[in-house]
Amino acid sequence: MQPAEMNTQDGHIDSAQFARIEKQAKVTEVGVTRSRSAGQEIWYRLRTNHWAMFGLYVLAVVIIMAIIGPLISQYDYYTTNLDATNQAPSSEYWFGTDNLGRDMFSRTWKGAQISLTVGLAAALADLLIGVLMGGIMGYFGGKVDEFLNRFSEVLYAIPYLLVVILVSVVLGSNMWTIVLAMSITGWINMSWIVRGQIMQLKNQEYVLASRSMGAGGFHILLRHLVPNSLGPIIVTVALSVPSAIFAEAFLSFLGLGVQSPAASWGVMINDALSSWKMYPWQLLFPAGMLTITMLAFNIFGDGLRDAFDPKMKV
Amino acid sequence: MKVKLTFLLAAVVAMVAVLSACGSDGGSGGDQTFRMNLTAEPPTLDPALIQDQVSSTVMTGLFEGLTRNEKGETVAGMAEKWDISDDGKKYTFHIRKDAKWSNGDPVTAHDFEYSWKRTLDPVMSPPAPYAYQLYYIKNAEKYNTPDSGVKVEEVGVKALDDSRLEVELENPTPYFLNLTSFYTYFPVHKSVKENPKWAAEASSFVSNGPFKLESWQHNDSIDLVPSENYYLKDEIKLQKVHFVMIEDPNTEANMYETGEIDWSGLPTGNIPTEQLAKFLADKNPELSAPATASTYYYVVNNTKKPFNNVKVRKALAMSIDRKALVEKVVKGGQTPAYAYVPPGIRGTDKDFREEVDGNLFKEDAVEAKKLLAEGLAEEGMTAMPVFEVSFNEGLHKQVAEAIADMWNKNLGITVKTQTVEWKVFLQNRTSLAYDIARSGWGADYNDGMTFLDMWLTGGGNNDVGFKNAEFDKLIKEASTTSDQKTRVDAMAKAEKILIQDNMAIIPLYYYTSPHLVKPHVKGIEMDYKGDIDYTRAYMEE
Amino acid sequence: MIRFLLRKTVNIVLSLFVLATATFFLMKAIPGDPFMQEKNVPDVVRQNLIKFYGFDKPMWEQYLVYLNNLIHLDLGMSMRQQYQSVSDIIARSFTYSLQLGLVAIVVSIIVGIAVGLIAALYHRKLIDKLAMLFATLGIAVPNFVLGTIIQYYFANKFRFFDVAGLNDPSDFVLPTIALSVLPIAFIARLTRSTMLEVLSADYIRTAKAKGIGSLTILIRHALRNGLLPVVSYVGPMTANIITGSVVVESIFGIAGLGKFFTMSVSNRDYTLIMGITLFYAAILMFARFLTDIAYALIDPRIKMMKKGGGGHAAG
Repeated sequence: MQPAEMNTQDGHIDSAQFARIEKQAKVTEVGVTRSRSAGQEIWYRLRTNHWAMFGLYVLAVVIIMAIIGPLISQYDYYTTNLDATNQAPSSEYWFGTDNLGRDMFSRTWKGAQISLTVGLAAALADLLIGVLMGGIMGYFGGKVDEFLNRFSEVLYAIPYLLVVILVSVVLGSNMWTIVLAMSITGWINMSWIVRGQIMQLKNQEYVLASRSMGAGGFHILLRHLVPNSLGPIIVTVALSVPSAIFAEAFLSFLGLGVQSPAASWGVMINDALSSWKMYPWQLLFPAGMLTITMLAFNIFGDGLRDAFDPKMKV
Repeated sequence: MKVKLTFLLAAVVAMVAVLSACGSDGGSGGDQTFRMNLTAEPPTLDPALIQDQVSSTVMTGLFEGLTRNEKGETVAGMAEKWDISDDGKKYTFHIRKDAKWSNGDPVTAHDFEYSWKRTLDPVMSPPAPYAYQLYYIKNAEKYNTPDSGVKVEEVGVKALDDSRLEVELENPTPYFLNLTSFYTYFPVHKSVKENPKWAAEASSFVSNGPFKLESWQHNDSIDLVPSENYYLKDEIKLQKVHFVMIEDPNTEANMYETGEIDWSGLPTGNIPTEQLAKFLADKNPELSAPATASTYYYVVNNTKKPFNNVKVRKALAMSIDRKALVEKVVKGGQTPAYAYVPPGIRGTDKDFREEVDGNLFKEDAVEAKKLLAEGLAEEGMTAMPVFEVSFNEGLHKQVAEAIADMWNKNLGITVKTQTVEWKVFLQNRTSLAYDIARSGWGADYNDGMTFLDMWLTGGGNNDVGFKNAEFDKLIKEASTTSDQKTRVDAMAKAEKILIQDNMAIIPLYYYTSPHLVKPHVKGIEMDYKGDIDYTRAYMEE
Repeated sequence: MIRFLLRKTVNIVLSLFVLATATFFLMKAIPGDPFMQEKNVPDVVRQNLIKFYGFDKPMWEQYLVYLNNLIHLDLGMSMRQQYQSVSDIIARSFTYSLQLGLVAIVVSIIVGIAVGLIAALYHRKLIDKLAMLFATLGIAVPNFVLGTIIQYYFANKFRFFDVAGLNDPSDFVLPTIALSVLPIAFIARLTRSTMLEVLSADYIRTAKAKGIGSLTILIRHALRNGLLPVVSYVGPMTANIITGSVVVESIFGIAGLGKFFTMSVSNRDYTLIMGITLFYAAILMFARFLTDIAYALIDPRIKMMKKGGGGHAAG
């Protein structure tokens, strides 16, 4: 089913459109009839959007480099060489060296492994919990909304530092405790944005119609409301990734970072900041890679949103 | 739309230009104002409650004790002269007649008696954390202990009249005179009785030093101006001391560069490491990095296997390249440490470190590897388990990573390095819940004892679980005699037991106090422990 | 209406109580106490301090004492900043954070919505791509990097501004930029994304077909409906920004509340932790309450005061 399309049918609702049929011949705005599943349809639109595919390719390259990058260089990411500290990029050290003489090329890709894992895992957790909670708040409203609202506010206001210290003391420090610490409150922002969106959408005619035909709350939520909120959701996820990456750098001061000598992009950027005037490459490579990754991620996210929403073709 | 956007942009640019023209005077000007960074808000300016460098730096200008320091010597302060009994346990201080509080009241011996007893009061509100700095005084510790039965009258400090203060000590303490210049020994005005919050605001603040508190913008800035009632007011050239509270070292560096502050770096600021290294390499004339009586070392958990084995501890200590560490990692002109008591601490006639050999062990990777194998065998282990070096946020991470890699290369062992949140770190260290942890110690007073008595069995700062009867005996010997030669000998032997025989801790380097000072600022003195005295400073035209 | 407000107020007070309880036990559960320093104080002194602050009493008793003070609106004295009351510290530093925060919020909302709108109107044109490039940079470059760099160039190198402090109007420029780049970027993306959806909706097309001028459509219909997600974000953002940012305050030497957030925790300054937490929560809850009201104003179909479920709101 093509949820976004519902929006365009304001006014004349045809009951057939709300039947629970997974595969259905589609009449799109451009008037082309195709027999394709929703997934194929979206993939087709995405594939023909060159800009979005460019983003996807860049992401793929970054991910591949994160896996093989540390192996390419003749230097590993952890061995110090105090006779070659703060070296500028050269044929020997492609990205230069850091203040302990470690190879920045290996470190940058090792950092990519950590930061991308943490960033994507945290964003996924935010997405799943946030959309669900926001959806429930927005759709059911009333007492449920009031309770979850207050609950999320209390959680949001509890000093995050205390939570992090507690997690680090109780569970120790590894990649997943970091993701856990970030997910405890990370979803809230997403849930509030989804809530606002759903509160508006649920009063639209097609939702009312669907309800009048006996569709259940969760069905409406997941089939109609969430897909129609994809724009803000994707934008928020795109914000979650870099915030998680920087939150990880901040957590590392509190004993909840990735075990050194491995360093994430966030930690590398933070470490390089006191000497960026002298050794700009130490800041430039991790920060530049992060920015490129985020750009690619956003371009791809936009394409994905457009693919879900065929009206954009106009 | 486009036209409007361009217009908006132009308006913003114009506004910025106008605003910036009226701001930023930047330059240092010819006026007698000295400006420096404290990094943080002083927790307090009440002498009784101070225990940190930031507060004490401000206090140097505001207060004066019975004595004060000038060019490394203890000279007369509020007391113009003093008599010491033959057994070294009774001091009589004669307060100078022209000593006055900033409000014009005379400073009397009664003020000192009141202040010290106030600090020792176990129910002072709140109790004084540094009260123990007064424990040299007879019955002071007992009075500070609730329900000990010792009354306030029994404490060994008494004003015989307005100008004579008699102090009785528990033990002869050769460095007591020097202690009376320490901030815990500063007096407070009697009026503080009526106004318990006196020290929190400039309006109610009374002090007896060269400067008085003109304003305290909390968390932002503090201004001191000369006190017209100070007995040596002719010596004071500065018209104002302006303290700012900038947390970020990069910001501090920028402010120094633009001339918004005249001093950057220690004791209360910081120069970013890589910049400091560059200044040192370039021999920047504004930079100096004098040695400071503090030692950076690693504590080793002596109670945990296999670190309970002295050979294992020695192996770890001997396989660190300290020269590379200070030159390539810490980069602040520090010197490698092969003993514990740092240079700058007094011995009998000269520096302790000049009189007592400071090479208590040697770096030797081959020997270290042999020792490690022997030590592990003695503990019935075949290989060194993976262990953790913990530290708090800061440059400590780079130090630990470099050392971990040296151990890896020299001993073939795997070491994890872990940043731990500050208070959790302290808690772990105190309760021996660590393998190896970063530590540092600076002098409270100018005597070897300030470094050594902490390692007494069960001592409050003995964070390694070190127990040694002979060491305890030597420390007792040194703290109950007044003969300096005997004391230094005993302390030297104790240090040898601690480091050479047991390697209870792993010394790494002796600190320096790197700082930048603008060339027109003259007359600021930094003492052996890195504290500064700016009271006699002046700005050269 | 009055009943509605009353119910909201009761709910908020109840939440604050839950928050106070959770925070109290959480902060007592983590290791460390206010008296721990690099150099440990002797046991005698330590015991005196523990007794003075009542830490020797059972936890529930300490909790009840705190609660009792709280009911009397007494947040207590800071355990770190001697002789300073928590409410004084908050009041003093909040003035700085609020001033800077309000400027940053206004800038963020205006610039963010404007950029987002322009991008949506010129969808897939160069100006759209540029705006989104800027917005992505704003999200990907963290404010501690941005702050450090603009400070170096504009204050240190070109000397347009003072490096630190918040003494005259020009001092607001750099911290405002550092504070608002991320919200601008996020609001711009959010606005663009929802506007694209709204602009392609039928009623807008109908309006266009009827020949209504595009600026009128934009303001009367599109903007109104496209703003809800932005409003959802602006509520909590306001609470966050006016209570101060640790990073920006520490880089630009501003005596705001943000620094105390982290400082109080690392000092285990229990009373200050509690005070700031409750103050922040009160502002957050109030801001979100206003957000809900704003929903109802923007989209009359959303009935905030209605009790029931999503059921029967009018179309």
